[in-house]
Amino acid sequence: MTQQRYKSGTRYQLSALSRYKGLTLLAGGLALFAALLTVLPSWFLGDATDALQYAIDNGLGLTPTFVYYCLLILGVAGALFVTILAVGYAFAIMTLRWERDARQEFFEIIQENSMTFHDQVDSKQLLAIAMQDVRWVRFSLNPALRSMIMSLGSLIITSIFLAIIDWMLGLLMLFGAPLYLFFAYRYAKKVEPVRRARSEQNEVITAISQEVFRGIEVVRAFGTEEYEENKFEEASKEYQRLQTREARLASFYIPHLIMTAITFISLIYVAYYVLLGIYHVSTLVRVLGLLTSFDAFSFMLPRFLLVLRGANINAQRIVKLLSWEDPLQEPEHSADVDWSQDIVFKEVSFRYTSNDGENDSYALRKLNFTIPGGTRVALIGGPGGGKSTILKLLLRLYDPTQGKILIGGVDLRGVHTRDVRAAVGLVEQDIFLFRRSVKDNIAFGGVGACEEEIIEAAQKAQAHEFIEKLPQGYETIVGERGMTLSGGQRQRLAIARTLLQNPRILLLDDSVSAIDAQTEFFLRKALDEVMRGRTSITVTQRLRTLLESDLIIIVDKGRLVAIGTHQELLESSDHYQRIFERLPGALQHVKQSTRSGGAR
Amino acid sequence: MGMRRRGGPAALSREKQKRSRPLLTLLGRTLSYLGRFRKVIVVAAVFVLLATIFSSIDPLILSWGIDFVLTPGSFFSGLFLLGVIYVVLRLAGWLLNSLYTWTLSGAQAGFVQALQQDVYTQLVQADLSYHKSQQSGDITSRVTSDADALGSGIQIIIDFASQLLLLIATLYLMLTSSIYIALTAGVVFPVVILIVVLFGTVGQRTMLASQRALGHVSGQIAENLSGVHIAKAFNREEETAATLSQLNQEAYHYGFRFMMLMTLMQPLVRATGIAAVSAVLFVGGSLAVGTFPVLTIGQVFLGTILVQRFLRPLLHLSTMATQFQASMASMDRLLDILEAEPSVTNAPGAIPLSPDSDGIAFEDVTFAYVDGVDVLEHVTFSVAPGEMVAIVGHTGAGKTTIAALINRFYDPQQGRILIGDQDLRSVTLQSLHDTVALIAQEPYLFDDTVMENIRYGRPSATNQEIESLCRLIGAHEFIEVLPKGYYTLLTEGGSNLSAGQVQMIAIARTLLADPKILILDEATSRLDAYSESLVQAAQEKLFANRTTVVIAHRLTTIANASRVLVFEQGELIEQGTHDELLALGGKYKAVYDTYYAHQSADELSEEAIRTAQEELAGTHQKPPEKRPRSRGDSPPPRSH
Repeated sequence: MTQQRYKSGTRYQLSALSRYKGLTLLAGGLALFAALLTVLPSWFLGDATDALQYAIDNGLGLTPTFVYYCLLILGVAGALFVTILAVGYAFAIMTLRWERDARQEFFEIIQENSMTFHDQVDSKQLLAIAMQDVRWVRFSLNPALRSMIMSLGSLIITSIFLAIIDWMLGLLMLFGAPLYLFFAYRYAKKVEPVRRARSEQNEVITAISQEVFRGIEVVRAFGTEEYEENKFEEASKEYQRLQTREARLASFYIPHLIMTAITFISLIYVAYYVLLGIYHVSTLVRVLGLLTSFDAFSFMLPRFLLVLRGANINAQRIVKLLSWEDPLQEPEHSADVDWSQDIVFKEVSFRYTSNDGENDSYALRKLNFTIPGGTRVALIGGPGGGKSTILKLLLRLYDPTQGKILIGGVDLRGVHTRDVRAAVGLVEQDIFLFRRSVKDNIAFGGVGACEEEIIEAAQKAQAHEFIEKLPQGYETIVGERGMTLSGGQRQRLAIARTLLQNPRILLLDDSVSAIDAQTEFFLRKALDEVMRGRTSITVTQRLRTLLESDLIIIVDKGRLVAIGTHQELLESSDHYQRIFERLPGALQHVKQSTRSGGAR
Repeated sequence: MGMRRRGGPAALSREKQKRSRPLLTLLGRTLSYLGRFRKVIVVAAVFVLLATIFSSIDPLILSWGIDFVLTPGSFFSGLFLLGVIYVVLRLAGWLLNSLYTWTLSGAQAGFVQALQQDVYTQLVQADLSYHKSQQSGDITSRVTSDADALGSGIQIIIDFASQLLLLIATLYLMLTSSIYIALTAGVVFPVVILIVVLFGTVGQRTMLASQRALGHVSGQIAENLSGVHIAKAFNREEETAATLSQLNQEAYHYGFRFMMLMTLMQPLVRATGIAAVSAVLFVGGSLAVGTFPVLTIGQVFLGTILVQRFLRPLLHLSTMATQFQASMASMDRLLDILEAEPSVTNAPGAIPLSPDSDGIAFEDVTFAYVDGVDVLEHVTFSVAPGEMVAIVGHTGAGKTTIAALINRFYDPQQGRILIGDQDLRSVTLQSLHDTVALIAQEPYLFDDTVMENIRYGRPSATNQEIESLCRLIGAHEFIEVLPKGYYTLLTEGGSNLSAGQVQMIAIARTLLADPKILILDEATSRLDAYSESLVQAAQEKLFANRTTVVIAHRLTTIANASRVLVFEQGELIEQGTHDELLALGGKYKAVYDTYYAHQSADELSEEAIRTAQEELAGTHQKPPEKRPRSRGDSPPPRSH
């Protein structure tokens, strides 16, 4: 999946328009027509003035010509209403659909990215981009771009009309209009760095407050309120400075002066010609009408210019994330795998890519071992030793940095992640539940599972009983801000979820140590059930799990320390002995087994 | 718990709550806040006042120009003079407007900053019960989005004044040039009223519906992102995308409606403006002709410009209404915070905790988080200086509350708590927190380096001190192998460390602070055997010669304690050493069997006992009728 969907922020920003080329053209044409319609009344005002002048000069009442122009202007008003509405409708369709789809697309691409991406990018930032940045880009098209097209249109049409009246006025606009646009553009450009700095500072403030409020107990306990307040003050003062700077940009808007100059020159020029008797007064009315009405309708232009430029930064942020190169590539054809066969790690090394690109920490180094198909394996070792990483590689959440993992002789890289994850199941350490009903959370393991299957899975996982006791039984909402479940209960739900998935290879991260006897009892029963009839790899420190495993693998600091059965390791590995002795109940067990004459 | 329904990350999903204060109060409070910037605002107001006056008379010059050229015998110099006046007026207007923006920008940003700081300070000082009841994201959005929204509210209030002024000036000009034209301009009123009504009713509703729908989208994305590994592990990416798509479509639906409503306004206003020009032209024209012409052509022209001018402030005011409402709602939420009186504060005349004060005493303490539901009832006990005491009991027995009370996160309703012989309520909070340290069950680490996180305990500590401390407690080994050792950046509260490592850092932090009194809430789970022994050893160093209260979850801790206090449903029911209490065979024995026995070496892997314990645990709410005690009698069955 090579993406590179969008080459630049600008293209992304304009993709809403390029997607609906026909509609864009139509809307653009209508917008220009609307601009013409806004200018026309000033033109007819001149004609009306002529008629009025004629009537006054000849001592007549209202002439039919005058009334005709009045009605014509009224007609233009009607036409204008319809046209602008149509433009607005077309833009609303294009841009809002784009916003909807862009958000969806953003999420789907991000979701597809491998876990390397999600390790690197903070989910709060992703959320902010999906919501705010996409919205800002849309805002830059509608209303900002929509209004700007009309403003620019009326600038051009006003210039043309002025040129028709007098070529000198045309010449004036030929110089004046580009100058006007140049200064407007320069003004909008100035905002860019300030805006960028301001958004970043806003993120800083958000981060500071969020952190302190999350850790308020620590702040309280160490009595560091004042320190935190000073830290915040510094950040918010900086924000204040940037905000002031950005807002002050809006003052001393040069294009405004250029418009004044143009109006002044036109007034003098045309009025002089009227004095000379070359032009009628209607021409003066017409020219002044044209210029003042442009002035009136372009007062939003500076603000929208800022929005348009500012959103370009938002678009760049989005494109940067969307064009992330995933180191994990899907194969073109997914290889067939016999999942009940041996799992082989060959020279497997892995390192996580850290945020700042300095990826110097190896999680695994040259790991070599074979897990025979259908066995129960226990994985032990110190913290940060690489146990969880091994599980993640088997799920193909990542690919090894070097070396390969073979299952039934097939390199896992040649198997589509979809197939890997259908065959390999995981019960994680920190159980994540979605904000849904208990039933739906279990059903997450198996697409289209019926109610009976769900209950059966729950029963096998020793979860049925406590679920029945929940306020709404299987319909109780759990997950964030849902019903609070204990760690043991969550774990059993996760086991039920995995039972429903019915994977060929089971990965268990079971690192809970201090839990009450009842929970432990239920958990063991559930684990026995879920391990039956599949290859299982369990990260553990339960003595019992070790004793019942066919194979024990010890890793430490990313390296393989020892591999073998409990008895073998007890005899051959000092490391294992040390770990074993630390386990609660181990000494007693040793005494017991010596008493009963060694191995059972 | 688990009852709050507001979905989605804070700022986006806030559903409309009813305002709890009248509009005038809110406006008054906002203005009084602005009082701090009185001088700047007065200057800005003078600027905008003058600017408005200048810009409202410049069309007058243009109309004079028209009439001037129509007057026979006019000279070019007069015309030029008019032109110059026009330019000067415009230039002055431009300059004054710019100065106004420039001045106000500073005041506005300053206002936002002052407000942010006040709200932040208030929140940092606020009662813990407040923080417990809110999501940190929600609280943060008070500081960021609400303060910002109020900032634009200020702009609106000041803009309102200038727009109102423009409206009055325009109206005055129209009235002075012709009452008839002024009356004709009234044709725009029905449209303005239509817009106001439309936005007040349908607009408001649609906007809220649209915001709510967007909130759902945002909530869904947030959840999907935190569960992305699960969606991947179970191949359910398509399903999560489909769920999102549905919500997204709904948001589009409401968003489209709102956008169309907004879009409708522009043509409505422009068309009305032009129709009004036509009307003014017709009426003005009728008055300019005939034998007794009332108006000049220049005045008719002026009328057409003024009527368009007239519409702009009206429009501005009507669109501001929605935004104004929103910012007043923000002010309302902010006032909730600013006006809240923290219930735990320094008492008048509070003195620092004396350096000699040590040891803790609870004297007949009764406490309830919610009135009527006592969490602690008549609790009396004391901890001698240097003594280590363990607290045990079932969930909900009130253990954590005791920790919170010693830290004076709350005050008890009855009785008192003493350190040495000083009542907690009579000492300063700062000195209390310097003396007492708390390590929570899940210690919180900041998004900073390991080094800085430890230094939080004592900001003046040097790097060497920190390192040797870590060596002492056995944390140095694992810190050193982190990607950047002590300078490794912790993310999202230490999610890149194991639970054991997080605890080690928290212990180091507390040791650095070297408090006289320590309250520790032991972690219940997620420690592997290796970390467990590491943490245990570190804890022993921590407890040495220190008055310590531990909410114990590990057998070793209990066994080492000089006394064990057993709590049940808020009452202290038994106390003594571990052995004494076991011998007593009472509640402690039952709790011990449920939570600790299987941690001990004697009790492992004996299925029968486990079953017995399970029954015991299952019946601890009901009056125990029978207690099967098959301890040690039956041989362990070997089923597998």
